[in-house]
Amino acid sequence: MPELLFEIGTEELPATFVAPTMAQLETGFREKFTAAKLWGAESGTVKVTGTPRRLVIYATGLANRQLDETLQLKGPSAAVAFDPQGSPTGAALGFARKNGISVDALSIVDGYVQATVQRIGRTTLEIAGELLPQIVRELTFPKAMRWGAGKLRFARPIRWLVALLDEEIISCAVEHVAAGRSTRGHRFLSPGEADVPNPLAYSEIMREKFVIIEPSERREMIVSQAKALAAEIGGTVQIAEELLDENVFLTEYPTAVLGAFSSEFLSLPQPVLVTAMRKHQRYFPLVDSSGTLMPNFVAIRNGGGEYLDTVRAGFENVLSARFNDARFFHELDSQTTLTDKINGTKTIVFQEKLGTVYQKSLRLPLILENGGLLDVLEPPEIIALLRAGLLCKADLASEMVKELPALQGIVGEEYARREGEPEEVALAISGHYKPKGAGDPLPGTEAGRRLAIADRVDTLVGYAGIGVAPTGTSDPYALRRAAAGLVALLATSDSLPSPRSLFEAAWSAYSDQAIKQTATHQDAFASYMLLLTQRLDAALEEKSVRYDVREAVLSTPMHSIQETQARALAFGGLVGGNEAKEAQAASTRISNILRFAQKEGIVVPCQAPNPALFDDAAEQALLDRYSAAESAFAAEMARREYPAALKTLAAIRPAVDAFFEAVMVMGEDVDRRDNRLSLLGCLRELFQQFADFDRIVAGESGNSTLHE
Amino acid sequence: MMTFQDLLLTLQKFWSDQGCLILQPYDAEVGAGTNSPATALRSVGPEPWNVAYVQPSRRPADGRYTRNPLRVQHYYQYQVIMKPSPENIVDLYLESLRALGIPLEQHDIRLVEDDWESAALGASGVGWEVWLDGTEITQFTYFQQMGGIPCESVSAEITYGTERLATLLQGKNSIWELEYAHGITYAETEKQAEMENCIYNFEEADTTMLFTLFDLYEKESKRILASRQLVAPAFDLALKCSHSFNLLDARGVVGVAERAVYINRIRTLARACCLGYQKQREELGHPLLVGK
Repeated sequence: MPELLFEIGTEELPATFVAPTMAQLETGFREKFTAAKLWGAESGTVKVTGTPRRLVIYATGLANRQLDETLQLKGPSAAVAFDPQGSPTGAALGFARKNGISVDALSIVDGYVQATVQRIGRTTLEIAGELLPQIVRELTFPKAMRWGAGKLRFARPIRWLVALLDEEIISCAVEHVAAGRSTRGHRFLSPGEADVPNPLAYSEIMREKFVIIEPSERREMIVSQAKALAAEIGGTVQIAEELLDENVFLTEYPTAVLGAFSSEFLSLPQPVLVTAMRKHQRYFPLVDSSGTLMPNFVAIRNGGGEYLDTVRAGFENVLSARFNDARFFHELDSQTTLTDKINGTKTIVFQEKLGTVYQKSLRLPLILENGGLLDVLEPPEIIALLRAGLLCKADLASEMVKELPALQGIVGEEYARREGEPEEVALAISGHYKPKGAGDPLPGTEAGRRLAIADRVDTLVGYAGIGVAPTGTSDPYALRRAAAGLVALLATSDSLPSPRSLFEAAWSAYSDQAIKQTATHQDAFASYMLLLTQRLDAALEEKSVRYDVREAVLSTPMHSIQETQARALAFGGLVGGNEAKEAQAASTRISNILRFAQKEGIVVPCQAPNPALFDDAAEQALLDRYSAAESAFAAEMARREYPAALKTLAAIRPAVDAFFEAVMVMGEDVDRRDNRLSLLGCLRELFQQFADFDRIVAGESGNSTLHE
Repeated sequence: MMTFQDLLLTLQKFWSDQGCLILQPYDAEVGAGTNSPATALRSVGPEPWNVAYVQPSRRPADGRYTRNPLRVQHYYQYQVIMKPSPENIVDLYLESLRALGIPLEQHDIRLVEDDWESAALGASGVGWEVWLDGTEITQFTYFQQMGGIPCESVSAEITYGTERLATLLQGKNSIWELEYAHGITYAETEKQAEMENCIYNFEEADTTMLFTLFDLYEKESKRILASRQLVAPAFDLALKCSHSFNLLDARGVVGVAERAVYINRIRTLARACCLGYQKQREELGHPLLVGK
């Protein structure tokens, strides 16, 4: 059975794009060729490979052509197609012509004209020529580009195509690049073109032309060579998965090179060295048996084993230059302490309207103290936390961080340690930037977490105070990320302060510095809470909490992020159960009548009902039920016993039902009516402490895409 | 040995042979060859444009008081623009390295993804850093947008770091040791000025004056563009804003958030100039479009 080869030859693709594109190509091939009945997973195989310069589909077991088919096509009714004399009308003639048969060949089935048509299956060669360009055009990339005068968008320019069905070229084109059988080898080791006689021969031809098309093979080459080189000098190579992937897709023919740098650089902070090696040079660092960084590295060359000394010298020189640079900054930084560097932050603007980073670092201790972040801590912890608050932004004025901004906090930690600050302080300085984004771990220490909270609150309250909030896709100050981080941090413990008290502390800290807040206190608080609520909503969605449950819980007052999250998670597990349904039924009945009253213009008085104004025993019974439930519910909520609290609410339902059956709520007597409404108002308040049950959608399985 | 001068002359000859006009450096302080109107303005619109030129460039914050062997605040970029980007542009570029005497198969050459963006120009592109044995020697970019305007015809931009290349070719560890030509070193031609400029940029530049200049240049650029559609001088004034900002940045008086505001102001000027240029060329009927 025929085999197919499709090679998309490109200029160097971004390393992270190749694997996802390979997956898309495989899916595209499977779907399209299966649908066209030219290939099936039962009898055929498909393998997609790729390098920086090519994406390749190799498939076996294709059909030569589609099968011929006999089709029965229904036409106009017999009455329309033939006149009373039995002669064909224009309708019959037209139908026959359209299907390429003579009018005599038409038959009549169930009162309708029918044409029996033989459809000759088309050849695979022909159909593949249509499907392959479609597969290419449907590929998507994190970022696409145009080139030349063309309109096609692709990851990088397409420069050649090979499309073969056995020995034959599949005639097709993408943009103005026509497919043929001519491929290209490794850019430098085998730059010429070569003809591919048939799909099976491709892989070996590429190998001869110094291209290893299979990513797993290149990975294996890199890992085994790197390990062997490290072993030669008694070290272990630190292979970070992401960096390995990158090297796999930066090379068509990888060769590992062992390099060294002067051991005098080892006196620089390790994160600085490792960042320079990994992030800037894509080298793998080496450690010795005790886990200490060695003055060596393994780099991956895109080429063979020749002239390795030239390449190694280049690799070493560029790393030395980077380390020299770092040492220059380090020496400058060593001339002053972190405490001195705080003064340097006086000229770094945090935000034009919100003052300098220096001012921010003066606010942090105030937020820690007045916001309640020092509560429950022991005196030594408090001292360390306040010290870290003061120093945590100092490294922004260091030369090292100005040069390597990604190392903010990490450099501060190193410098603090060198200057003899307590370990708690050093760790909190680096920790307070965490989490940097979704999925990033939280700070590892208590002080770090609390400082991280204060820093984010300061930022969010500051921007809210000048009326800046994210809109749509625009969030230039990354406020959503800050809010998401704050939510994650506050969700870690029950003993952390409420969003409100943190807001107030930060708001006062800004006011005390005479920083002009253009938004009103009320608007700023609303905008701050909106951001937090949205981020908590997103966090709960990620934990698969139904959208209506999230809405129901998030519309209740939020005293503690941790509590609200726990309640939403618990309710998410309980919703749909009997107790939730009972509670909801009671709550809905109460809400409906209160809504009706409101529509009628009746102000529901917010006061305890007066039993003297009750007409019916059901009223007193409901009040008794309420009073009993209220104290039980409060205790259960305080203990975070959500199933029990929900059960307590559910148990109110019979009394509610009996009440509605026995009395006419909206009676004529205004005082008695208002008294009944007061009772219901109290009940609603009770239910709403758990969730706004009205928002729960009955029978809803919680498809979150319906939301927003 | 290939002197620094030979390197520049070789590139001039090579790209001239590929059909590029060899332009002279632009006479304004710019951070890169991209900021010259020969790139920034000419990459707008459908007309073909093939040029190459040396561009002296200034990035005040990059100065290292001559102490870093490879980093300086003033240097010479070699800039190539081919629009629309030809099919074989990567091969042409690699040929230019061979012309400089680099046997490609003896080295490790890699094209590492590096998308380029100039917030101040409202420009972005897609491309690579080219690494020669781990050292970045060239930035290669397909422009996608300039002045916020999507590129109708895509330019390939090749920016060589000439000093970096020369140190590799001459086997020197420092740009100061480079032979410029005729036995004169790069240190002789550049080092004293580099030192003085570092002192000025980091310590002495009058920030009050620079903030004022920024405002004045900005106002003037807007005025002459609005009143008389004077695109070229308005763009020069935008470049002056950009340089004033770069000096303020080096003085460390611009914070992260404030930066964004200043860059936005420069971009607004640059975009207005690009739009003005686009209109101008339309009104002229795109004279460089062949077969019209």
